[in-house]
Amino acid sequence: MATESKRILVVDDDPDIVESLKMVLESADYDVDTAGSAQEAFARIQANPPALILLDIMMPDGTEGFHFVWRLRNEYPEPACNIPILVLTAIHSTTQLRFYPDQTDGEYGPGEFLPVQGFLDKPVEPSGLLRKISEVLGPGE
Amino acid sequence: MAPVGKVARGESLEVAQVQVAQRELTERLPWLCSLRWLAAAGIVSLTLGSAYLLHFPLPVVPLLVIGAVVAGYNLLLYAWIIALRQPTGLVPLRLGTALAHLQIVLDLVALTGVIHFTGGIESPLGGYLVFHMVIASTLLQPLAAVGQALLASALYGALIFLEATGRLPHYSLGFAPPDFYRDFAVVWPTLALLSVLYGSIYLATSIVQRLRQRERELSDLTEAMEREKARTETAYEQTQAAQLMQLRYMYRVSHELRRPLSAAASLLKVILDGLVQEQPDARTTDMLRRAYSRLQQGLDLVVDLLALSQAREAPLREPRVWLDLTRLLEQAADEMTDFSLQQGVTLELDLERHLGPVWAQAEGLSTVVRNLLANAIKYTPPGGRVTIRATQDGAATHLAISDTGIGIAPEDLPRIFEEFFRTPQAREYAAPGTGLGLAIVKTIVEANGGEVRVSSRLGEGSTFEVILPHHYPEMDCEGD
Repeated sequence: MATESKRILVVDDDPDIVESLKMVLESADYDVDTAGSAQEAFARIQANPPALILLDIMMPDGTEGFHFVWRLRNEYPEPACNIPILVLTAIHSTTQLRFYPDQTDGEYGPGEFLPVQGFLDKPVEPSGLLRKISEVLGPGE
Repeated sequence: MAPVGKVARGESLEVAQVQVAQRELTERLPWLCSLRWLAAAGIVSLTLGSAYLLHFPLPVVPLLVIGAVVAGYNLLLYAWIIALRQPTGLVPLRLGTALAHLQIVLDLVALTGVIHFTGGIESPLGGYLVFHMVIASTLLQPLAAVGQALLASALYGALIFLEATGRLPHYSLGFAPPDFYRDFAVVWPTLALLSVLYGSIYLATSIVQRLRQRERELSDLTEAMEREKARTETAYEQTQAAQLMQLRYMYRVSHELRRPLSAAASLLKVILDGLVQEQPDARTTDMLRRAYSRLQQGLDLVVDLLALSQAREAPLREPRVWLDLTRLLEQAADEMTDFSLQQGVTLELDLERHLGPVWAQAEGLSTVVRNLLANAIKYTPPGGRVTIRATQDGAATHLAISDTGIGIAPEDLPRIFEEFFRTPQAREYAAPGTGLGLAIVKTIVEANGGEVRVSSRLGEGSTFEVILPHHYPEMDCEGD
């Protein structure tokens, strides 16, 4: 067990999803912070940078998640820009997720892989989620 | 859309015809004037040359007067044409036509005068009458052109008749016998020749008219075709836009449908995984488990239906790009690791060392690989193996996903890409499933110009091979 819990920021606009994720993460002794929108997430990151972000890519407007990733990776100074991100989504296998969408004001090109550490389907399998998180964060100290 | 009535179209056609006629007149009237300057200069220079250099017995003064008169009225006509021009630069149709008639009449009279003073029936200039008739046939309507031809014949006929009967003096050039112009054995055939002439003119004119008519019909037809093409293009664009809108709507609906299902399933999963303090009894847990399974089925169905409709619209939706195949396959395998671990199936990647990029729809190909992998893992018993192989040859990229699973019976092979079709073995082995996964795979692969092949033995396993022919962009690729 980690003596000092790692903080995970859950970015999702669905309170039920947030609550279930919170329970899963807390069961593994992670500290959980939540945000219901990209804007709120940036505020949380600035106030208290998390060790990892769980991001719902289909937040209110369909592309908010993509912009969130792009802004965090390109506009934020270290260490914020390097925070690992795991993408969670309700329709992951059918939306343009692994790649940046092609209509994005020239910020990124079509076919470019989204710079995140992994994708997970919603509803999330708790054991799979925890395994993926510990893979990304490495063994606790 | 504004309706195009028959009347309106007919009117616009007439307007167009008038414009064509006006344009012709506007071009040819000044052209005729320029020719006439040459004619006047010709009359004067040939008269002087013939009389003083070649010593022909020509009445110089009357011929010079005719030359001067021709030049004079040409100047007036030219000024008139300029004055007639409308702000559009075109000559008005009616006045322009009258002017054409007047010009030709004046020319015919002047030419008859020149013929008279250069020998009448002996004159080498008689042929110039034909020249005028041809000009008339290109400028005027058939009937008017024939009228001008008649006038020319009448003037010429009258001239040689009056000379033959002594009512007009005859100016001999000395080429023909002295009484030649009085010999009716010569005069009658000459007059008969004239009738042949204006018959020919009439024919020429009607041919010209028919050509004009054809030209007009052709231009009308071209215009109609252009209009039709534009209409078809607009309709196609509208259909495309409507399809895209429908697709976006489907996205939205699927997302909205999945959200509550997904949230409910997540909450249930927390209870089922024992993450809440008060645990339900065995019976309740079983019911919760069944509820979770049904929710999962609903979620799969929504996803597959969306994926299928997307795959059908794929050519509209997603552009093809150069893709790093190794990375795409590694990522797909990575995402399937959890599932394969759960199923107790070993997942292997066997990729050629230096796989070149493939030209395909990024999300589309990703969906293809994940669907095939998910199927392979799902229908392979624990302890089995799923292998992803990728190779490239001169013609194509070959992507093969093989499993040691339950396999497909030969009689089911032709149907496995049908929507909602599931083999009896598949139904028996794994209850949930939408039967849409392979239909999606086939649709996307074909939209990317490729094909899917399957080989299988019941109880031994299956191999699905995706073949994507190499793409050599010609116009759509700059440099590399």
